[in-house]
Amino acid sequence: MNSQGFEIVEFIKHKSNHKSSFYAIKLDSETKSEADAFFDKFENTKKEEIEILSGKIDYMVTKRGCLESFFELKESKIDDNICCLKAGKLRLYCLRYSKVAVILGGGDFKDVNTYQESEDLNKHVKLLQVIYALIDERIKDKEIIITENSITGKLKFNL
Amino acid sequence: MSKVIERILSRIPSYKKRMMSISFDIAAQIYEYMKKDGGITQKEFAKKMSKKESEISKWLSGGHNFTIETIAKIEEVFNEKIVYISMFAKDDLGLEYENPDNVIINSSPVLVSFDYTDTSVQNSNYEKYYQFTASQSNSVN
Repeated sequence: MNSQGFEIVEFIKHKSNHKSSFYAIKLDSETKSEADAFFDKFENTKKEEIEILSGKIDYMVTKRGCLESFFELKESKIDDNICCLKAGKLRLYCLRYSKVAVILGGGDFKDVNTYQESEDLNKHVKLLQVIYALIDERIKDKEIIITENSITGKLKFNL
Repeated sequence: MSKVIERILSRIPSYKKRMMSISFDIAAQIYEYMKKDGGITQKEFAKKMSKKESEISKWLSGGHNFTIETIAKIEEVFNEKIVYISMFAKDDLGLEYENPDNVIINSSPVLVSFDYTDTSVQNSNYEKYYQFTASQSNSVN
């Protein structure tokens, strides 16, 4: 990982009546979160897809929780929770914790059959694989707690 | 909250937000029916709909603009309602719907999702029903 560490930051400000929470990964070496960089990059060039993705996130936060059907599951190998939100050919990779919470990573335009064929997409998935393992350790150590609609605890990682 | 997502959401016209919300509701409802009673796989559902599996995957991921024809076919496959028109709320609420012959219904039908777990929808239908009947009885009297 090309950074000194990272933090899990709120992507959508959490409210008690929300059905789920969305977080993003902010690398110490970057000024924006990975998800912000993704939305910034495609906001004007892929307007329709970006609106669908934004609307979908808003819907899951305020209405239904993180519905399984809205995610493309098993994007990566084994049990690492990595999945993606898609609209058209845009892919936004993330870690889904049942219907409760999602941690958004980065994403890009997918113009290949599998993410492994794209250096950019592969980079995003690999970063999430590393982050998943680190979060998983903290969950096991009870330093991170997944509540009924949020993630709390030690969300800053120094590597 | 992310400034970017806040900006994007604020720029989406409200009709489009409503459209997306209906589409997401339909996608969620189809998925529920697929899982119900042992369920059917995406492949089986695609076959019943004479569609490619990739098309069904697109529907389920949300944001698809369903036609009435498609909704009708989906309802046939599951033998269940996907969409209710709120002015015909009788089935949802078990209430008697009265429409005196001399009253012209001038009410815009609103599509709502069929979701018994969402009490706000039921309440909303309930309110609409009473607003409607109240306005009709006023016009009759």
